[in-house]
Amino acid sequence: MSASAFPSIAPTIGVATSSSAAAISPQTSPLFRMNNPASIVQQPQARRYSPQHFYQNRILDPFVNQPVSPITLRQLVFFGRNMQEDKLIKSANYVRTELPIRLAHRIRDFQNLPFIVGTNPHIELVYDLYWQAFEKLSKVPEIKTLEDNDAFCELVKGLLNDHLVVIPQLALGIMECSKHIPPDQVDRFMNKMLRSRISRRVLAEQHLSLTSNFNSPNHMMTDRGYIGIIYTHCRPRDIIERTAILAAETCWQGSGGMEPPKVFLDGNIDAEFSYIPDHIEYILYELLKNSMRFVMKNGIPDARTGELPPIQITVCEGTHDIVFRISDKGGGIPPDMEAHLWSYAQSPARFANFEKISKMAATIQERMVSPSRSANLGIDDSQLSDRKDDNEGIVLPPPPATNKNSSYYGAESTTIRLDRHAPPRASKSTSSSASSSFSTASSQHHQRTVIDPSQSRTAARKPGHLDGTTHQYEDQSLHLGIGLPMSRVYAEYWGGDLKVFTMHGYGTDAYAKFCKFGNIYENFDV
Amino acid sequence: MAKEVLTLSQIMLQLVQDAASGYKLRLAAGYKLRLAAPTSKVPATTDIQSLKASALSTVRGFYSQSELRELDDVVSFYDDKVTEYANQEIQTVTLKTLLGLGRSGSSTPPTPSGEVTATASPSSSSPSTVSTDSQQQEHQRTRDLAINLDVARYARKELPVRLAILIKATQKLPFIVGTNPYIKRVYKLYYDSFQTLTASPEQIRDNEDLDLIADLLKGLVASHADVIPMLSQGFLECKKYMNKDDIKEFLDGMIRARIGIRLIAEQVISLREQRDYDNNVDDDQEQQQRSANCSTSKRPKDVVGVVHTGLRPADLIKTCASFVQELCDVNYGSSPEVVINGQTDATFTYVPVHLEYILCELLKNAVRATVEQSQKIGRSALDPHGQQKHNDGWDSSGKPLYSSTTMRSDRHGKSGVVTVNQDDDQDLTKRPNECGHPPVEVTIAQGDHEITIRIRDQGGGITREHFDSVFDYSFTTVKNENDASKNGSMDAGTGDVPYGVDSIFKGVSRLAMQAGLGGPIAGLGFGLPLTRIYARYFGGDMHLVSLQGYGCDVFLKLKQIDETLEEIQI
Repeated sequence: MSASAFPSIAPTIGVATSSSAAAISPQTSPLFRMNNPASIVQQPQARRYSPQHFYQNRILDPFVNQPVSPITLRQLVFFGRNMQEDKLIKSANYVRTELPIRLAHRIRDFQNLPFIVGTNPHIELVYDLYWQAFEKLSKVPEIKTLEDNDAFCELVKGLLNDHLVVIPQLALGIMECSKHIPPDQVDRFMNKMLRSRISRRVLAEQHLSLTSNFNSPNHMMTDRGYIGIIYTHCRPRDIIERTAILAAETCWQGSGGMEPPKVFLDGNIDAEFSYIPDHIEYILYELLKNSMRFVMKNGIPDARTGELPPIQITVCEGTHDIVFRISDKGGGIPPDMEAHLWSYAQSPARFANFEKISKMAATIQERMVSPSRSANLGIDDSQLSDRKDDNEGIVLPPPPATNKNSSYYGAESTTIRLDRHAPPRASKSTSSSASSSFSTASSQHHQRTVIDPSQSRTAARKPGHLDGTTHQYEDQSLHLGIGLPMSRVYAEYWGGDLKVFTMHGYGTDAYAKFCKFGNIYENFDV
Repeated sequence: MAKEVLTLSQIMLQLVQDAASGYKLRLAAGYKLRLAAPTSKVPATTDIQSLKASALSTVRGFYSQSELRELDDVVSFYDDKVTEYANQEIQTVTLKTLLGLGRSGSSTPPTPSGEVTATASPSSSSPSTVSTDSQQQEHQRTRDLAINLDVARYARKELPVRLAILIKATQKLPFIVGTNPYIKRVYKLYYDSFQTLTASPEQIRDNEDLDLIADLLKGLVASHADVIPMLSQGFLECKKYMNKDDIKEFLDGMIRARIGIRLIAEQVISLREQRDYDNNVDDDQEQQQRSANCSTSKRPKDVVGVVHTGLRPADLIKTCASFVQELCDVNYGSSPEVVINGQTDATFTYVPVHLEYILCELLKNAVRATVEQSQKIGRSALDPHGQQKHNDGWDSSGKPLYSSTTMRSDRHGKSGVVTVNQDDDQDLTKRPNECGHPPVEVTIAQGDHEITIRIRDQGGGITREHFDSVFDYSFTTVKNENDASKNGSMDAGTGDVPYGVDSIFKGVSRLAMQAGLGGPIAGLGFGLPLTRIYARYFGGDMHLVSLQGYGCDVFLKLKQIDETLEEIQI
C-alpha cells in the first residue's frame, strides 16, 4: 500500500513545529491537530479514534522484524572524534535507518496494549505522534551529501520538538488507564517507552550535535572535551556542584524561601569519566531535590547551629563503575509510599500534575538552559529564544489570575541559566550577578510569569502574603512523580543502576551507579 | 603490642583446645547419633565410595561397632510412619499465640519494659494489697501452667508433623546426595528425633509431663546444634551432583522450617525455665530483691520465652560489636571502632537470639573487611586513607568547593551549598581510630512499623564478580588452600582446613558462636544466606549494597513484630 492512500501524512507537510502548526487552521486536516498537541491536550474528548493505521502495518512489519542495533557510549565517543564529511554522512545514515526501526518496535508495543487503552486520547496522541515520526523518517532516502544531511537534521530537530509532549501525555494516559492494565504491565510498558525514547534522543541529538560542530567554522577549536553530547571529562565534583546548586535553588523557590540543607562531598570526587552529562545530571538533580525536600520537611535542625542535617554524597570509584551515594537524614520514606516508589501505576493520582504541563524533555536543561549547549546543537543566540519556547523548559499554562497563585506557579516555571562549561568558580561573580544567573524566561515567553527570585524571597518573608502551606514545603507543582522512575531508566540505560534504601524515621540513601568505561551496550531490557 | 597479641592468641589457643576437648567429650557422652566433623580433610575429588569409606573411617574413630551399624543402615524403606505424618497439614501458630500464651496476663498489650517491671512485679506493690497479691499470684500461676501446658501440647502434636515434612523433603533429594555421609547423618538425626518425639507420651496434663517433654526437646535441640555445618559440608561435597537452584530451594526451605521448629521447641523449654525461675523467686525473697534491683536479671518481665518485648537494638549491637572486635583483635591484632548512632534509644519486640545472630554475622563481615582493606591499601594511623588518597584522588579533607561567594551566598549570606567534607565538619566518632581503621557505623532508625539497622563499613566493598554470589550457599571468600591469592577470613570454621592461624580463629569463632548464641553457627559460606533467612523470617528483609573500592552498606529491616503478631505465622 502506497503512502498516497494517506494524504494527510504526506511528507510535504514537512517539519511542523508547534508554532507553524498553530498557524494552520486545525480544520485543514485532522492530523494537523496532532502537530499541535496543546490544543488536543485541552480537549482530549475531541480526538477521534484512528483505526486507519491498521493497513499501514504492512509498512511497519518489515521494520519491526529488524533487530535494533545497540551501540555503546564508547563507540559514540570513538566515532565522534575527528569528524570528517564521510563519517558524518555515515552517522546520518545510521540514524536514518536506526530510528525508524526503534520507533517501529515501540509502535508495536502500543499495538499490543489492550484495545481500550489504545483508545485513550492521551495514549492515542502519542501513538499518532510515533506513527508520524515513523512515516517521515522511513521515507527519507539515503543521505549522500552534506545538504541531504542538513535537511535530515532539520527533520529530526522538528521531530524532537514535536515529541516533547510524549512524557506528559504518556503519564496522563497511563494514569487514566491504570484500571485497565495490571500494574506490572504498565511499569514494563512505561520503562520500555522511556528507555527507547532516551535511546532515540541520544542518537538524534548526538548526530545533530556532531553536525552542528562540523558546520561551525572553528569546530576543531571548540572541542573542550565534548564529543557531540558526550563529555569526556565528567567529574563528580563538577556534576554535583551544578546539580546541587540547582536543586537547592528549586527547593528554595518551591518552599517560599526556606534554606535548603547543605551538601557535603567525599570520596573520589575528582575521578574522570565519559558520560552524557544530561543523563547523570538529571538523575542527581532528581535525587538531590528529593533529599532536600525530605530534609526540609522532616529534618531536625542541629541544636547548636540551627542548620538542617546536611546531605552527604560519597563518590566511590570501583573497577568498572562510579557510584554516587546520596545520604540524607530527611526522615525516610513512609512504607506506603516506599511500596510504590518505582511504579507508574500504583498510585493513580501520582501524575496528576502532568495536566499542568504540556511538554517535558526530562533533561536538566529544563531547569538550566545552557547557551553553549544550544550552540552545540547548532543554534545561535538569536535562535535560542525561539528554540526555548518550543524545546526547552517545562511549559506551564498561564497561571490563574490571583496573585498568590501566580507566584506559586511562577517559581516553578522559572528557568535557570547556568553555563555548564564555565569552570565552577567563574559563575560566582559579584553578588549582583545573581539575578542574571537566574534569569527567568519571562522575556521570551508570555506564558511565563516574571518572578525575580529575590522578590519571591521577600514575599515569602512577609507574613500573610503567601499561603502558610508554602512554608511546610507542600509545593505540589514541583512534584511530577516521574523523577525517580525516570532517573532509574536513565541510569540503567548505559548499564548503571539506581537503588534507593530508606530508613523510615531516619533518612534515605540513594545509590546511583554509572558505568565508567562506557563499554556497555544500550540497555533495552526492562 | 605484638607480644600482647601473641599471648592473647596463646590464651585463645588454649581456649580452643579446651573447648574442642569439651566438644569431643560431649560427643562421646551423650549424642551418639552425631557425626563429629572430621579433622582430616575429605578429598573433594574422590568418588562417592571412597568418600563414604573415608567418612566411615573417621567415624570409626569415634564410635563402637554397634553404633556404626546404626549409622550404616539408614531408616527402613518400609517405615511409612513418616509419610503418614508428613501428609498432615502444618498447624501454623501465630507469634501472638506463642507470645500471648507465654505472657502472664496475656490480654494486656505489651508496654515499655520499664513500666512492666514496675507494675507487674509483685514486690513493688504496697503491703496492704499483699493478700490479694498472693491470691493473684496463685491465680496467675494456675493460668501460667495452663498456658504452658497448651504450648507444650501444641509442640507435642505439631513438631512430629514438621519433622516428618523435613524428612520427606530429604527423601526426595537425589539418591547420590542422600548417600553423602553428612546428609545421611542429618537425615538420621531428623528421623531419630521424629521417632523419639512420637514415642513420647501424648498426654500432657501436669507439671511432670511438662518437664518430661521440655527435657526431651532440650535434648533434641542440643543434638541438632550441628545440623547447619553438617548440611553445608554435605552440600559443598554434593555441589557437582545437584543443580544450584535446587540446592538453594532445598536449603532455604529446610532452614526456614528449622527456625520454626526451633522457635516452638525453645518456647516450651524457656517457658518451663521461666516457671522454675518464677517459683524460685517466690520461694526466695532475697533473690527476688536482687532481681528487682538488677536490670540484667535472668528473667526480666519483658522476656516471654524466646521473645523480648523491650529489646534495645543498641544494647545488642554493643554486645555483638565487642564480641566481634575481640575476635578481630585476636586474628588481626587490631580492630575498627563500631559507632552506633541514630535512634539509639529505640526498643522493639523481637527474638533476641535471631537478631544477635544477624548482627554478629553482619558486624563480623564489616569488621573483617575493614581490617583487610586497611592492610591492602596501607591505611595506618599516620595515613588514614592509605594509597587510596594518592591513587584515586580520594578527597575527604580538601577545601570547600564553594567559598562564601557562591551564587547562593548572595541570597543567604551563608557558605555554599556544596562542601567537600572537612575534618572539623565531621562527627569526631567517624574519624579513623589509632590503627587507621575507619569505624564501622551502625545506624538505628525506628519507623512506624519497622526498625531499620544500617551497617556501613569502609572495607572496600565487594567486587562485581563476587557480588552476585554473596547470597549463594557455600560461597565464601575464605582462603582456600588451593587459592593463596585470596585473603584470609574471619568466617567460622570450614572444618576442612586442618590448622593454621585461620583455622584457629575459625575454631574459636565457631565455638564461641555456638556457646554464645545457642543457634546455628556460620561457616562454609552460609553466613549471609542464613542471615537473610533470619531477617526475612518475621517479614523483615536485608539488602546489601556494595560500593566497590569504598565499602558496603547493609540495610537490615525488621518488622516491629508486636504490631503484626496476629499475622506472623510460625
